[in-house]
Amino acid sequence: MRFRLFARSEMLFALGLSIATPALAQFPRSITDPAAVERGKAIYGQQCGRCHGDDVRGTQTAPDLLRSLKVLHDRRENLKGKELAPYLKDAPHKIELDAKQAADLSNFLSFSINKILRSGYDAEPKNLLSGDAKAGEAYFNGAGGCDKCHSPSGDLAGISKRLSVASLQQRFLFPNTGFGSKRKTQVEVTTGGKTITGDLVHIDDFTVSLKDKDGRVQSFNRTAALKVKTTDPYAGHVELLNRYTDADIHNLTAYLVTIP
Amino acid sequence: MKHLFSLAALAVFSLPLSAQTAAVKKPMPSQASQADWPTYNGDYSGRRFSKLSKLNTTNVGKLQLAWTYRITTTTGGGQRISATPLMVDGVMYFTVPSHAWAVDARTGQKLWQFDWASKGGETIGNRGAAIKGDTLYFETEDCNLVAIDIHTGKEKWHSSIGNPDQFYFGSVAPVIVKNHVMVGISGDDFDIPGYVEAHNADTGALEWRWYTHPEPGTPEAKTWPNDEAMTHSGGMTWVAGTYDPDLNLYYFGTGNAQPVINGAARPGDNLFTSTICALNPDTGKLVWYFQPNPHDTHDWDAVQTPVLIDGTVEGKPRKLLAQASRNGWYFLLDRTNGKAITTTPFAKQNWAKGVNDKGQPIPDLAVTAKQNGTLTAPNQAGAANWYPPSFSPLTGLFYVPAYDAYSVYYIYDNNKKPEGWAGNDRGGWSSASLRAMDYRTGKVRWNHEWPTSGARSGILTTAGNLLFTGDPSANLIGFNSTTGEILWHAGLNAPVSNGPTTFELDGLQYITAAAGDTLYAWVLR
Repeated sequence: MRFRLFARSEMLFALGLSIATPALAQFPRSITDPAAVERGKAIYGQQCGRCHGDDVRGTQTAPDLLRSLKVLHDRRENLKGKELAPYLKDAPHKIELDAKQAADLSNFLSFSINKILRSGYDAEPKNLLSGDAKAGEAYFNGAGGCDKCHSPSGDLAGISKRLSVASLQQRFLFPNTGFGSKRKTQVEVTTGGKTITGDLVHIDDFTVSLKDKDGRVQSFNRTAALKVKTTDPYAGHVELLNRYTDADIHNLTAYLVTIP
Repeated sequence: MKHLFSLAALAVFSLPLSAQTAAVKKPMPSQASQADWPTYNGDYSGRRFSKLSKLNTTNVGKLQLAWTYRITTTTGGGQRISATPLMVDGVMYFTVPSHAWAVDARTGQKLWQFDWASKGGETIGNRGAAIKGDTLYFETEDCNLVAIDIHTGKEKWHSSIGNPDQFYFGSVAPVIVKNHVMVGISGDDFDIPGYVEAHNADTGALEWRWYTHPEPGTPEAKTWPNDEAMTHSGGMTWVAGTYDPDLNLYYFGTGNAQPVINGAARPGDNLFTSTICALNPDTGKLVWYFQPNPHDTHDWDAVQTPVLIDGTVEGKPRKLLAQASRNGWYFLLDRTNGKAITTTPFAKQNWAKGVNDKGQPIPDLAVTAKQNGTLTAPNQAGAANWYPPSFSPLTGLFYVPAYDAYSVYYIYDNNKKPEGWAGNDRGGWSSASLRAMDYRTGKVRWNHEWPTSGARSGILTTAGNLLFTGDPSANLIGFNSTTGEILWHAGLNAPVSNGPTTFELDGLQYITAAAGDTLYAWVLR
């Protein structure tokens, strides 16, 4: 529970964002200087990597520096090596670094913490093309029923150029979340024998608002005399969530990226 | 309502609140009438059920706004009150990260504001405070337990509860048990173990700390591949626990195992993460445990409030503990020993392939994160979350803000030694409901599906047969708790961001709820 048990979705709601955009969740980070990180990486490679591992995660002979209290304290207090340098000078290290070198090493270690421990906040998953494109095409035109609404030469033409693979996968799974324009839920309000239709603006148990074809926003109290019917343009996608296998998803992804 | 609570159970119901009252020293005369809201959950049981009944199904329509109080100070995380305010002797106390307020419960006028000079930490939220005698206790984001004089708003002492270097942070509402301040801890980015601590209520001195992993060499330690994995295990204690004074047991749930999402390097059940634990509050010794979510690879935890119910099962009075868990399953346990009585899904889930003979869901290893993605229900936000549920002994119903949801879980750190947040879920669809379940069977008796998904809020039930909760928009709504019929609502400036409460002052019953930066109070005059 990071909450985040509770945390991520809370923060995103606070930001007015959907929970579909985890990459934007921000947690305290130590600011690093890219040039210093590169210089620190070289120092680390020369002085530390053999024992503590090329990726800083430790080896049989030396501990994981991502979990080192000295490194973590250095990172949080932005000491930039002020306490690390004297420590390294003592046994068992006997490494002497001047202030600039210590700052560079500190930058590299802080960067490693940010990068590795928070890799889960990576925005774009990779390795998404493990599926079978032919099976995906068969699903598109068969069990998935995608061809009833979509066409590779019509609305989907050029989709592989417009979207990254990760975005494309998200778009067909959860088309109503994330960034980009969305089709509006349609709403039909009937009152006093008259029916008004439009794009849904707001609905709860007490009021409903819509934007009619003239662009005018109209709102209604949901009294017993008022009938409301909504139509989710993505209902077909939602229904598929109960039927997809992971293989269907991977195959469909592999097929969609072949659409020119 | 078909399943009424037994008279015997109703008689027993009064015990926890009485015990809590006794634990709080004078001067607090109004607590004797049980009209206050003196703890995070209102009493020790976690039921969030008030015995007040002046406000009921026949007059709730006359409920009117009494006052509002808007905060303008926070240290981060947005201006959002997620604390459950306490109300003691006509004063309300609430918190946001590193700040606390006292306001007049009759007028909403500020009496004092306490500002902690934070040295930095996560500002996800602060769930509230605890009171004993004339002292208010709360956790700061930079891991301090602070004791404040409730009359002046001045600090009495503070005591460290964690090392912020390791990215521990404070967000949990403390709980007073006897002279112990029970403290939970937050933070799960850095592969650190969770714990519960008890501090002396008078001095702040640490009395004991219980880590949420087994002692090396014990049978439970075999649920981890090695001691290093076990001692970097996670299991944060994010939510205030509940307490049975008769059994002298403190109950709380623990958070997800770490590294998060990618569990490949920590095969096994990973005790005591995602586990309901019962501790002796005097010694910090574990008495029993039940793990609702073995080998958590979805950040689902099992920290949702363990609600104490004195009920009947197969005609016999039982001391029970109920949890609607974030993983979509409802559990009813015998709270004397942790044995499962009922295990059943209460929301959409596709990750368990059955239930074992201990009453635990059996994880389907196919439904864990992969580099190319795995479609999973529920999503990471869960079928339930920290938002407080409620149990009404009048209706015998357990109420939960329930989400049916899907998302796709991906692994990002595929190293042989993944660390921290080694993956995440992405995208999603969800449908939100207020769900009322028979506490014995978990069967849904009524369900109110909200017209949209979105924000969540906690739940309050009362002896007036009312249920108050926020909807995913920005309304506080009063329901008939037996039927689910909507009886009253108020439009707010934001979704309800805490659990509603109720109290009585001068013979008038109040309802409170926070929405974003504003605390609201309504009253029946």
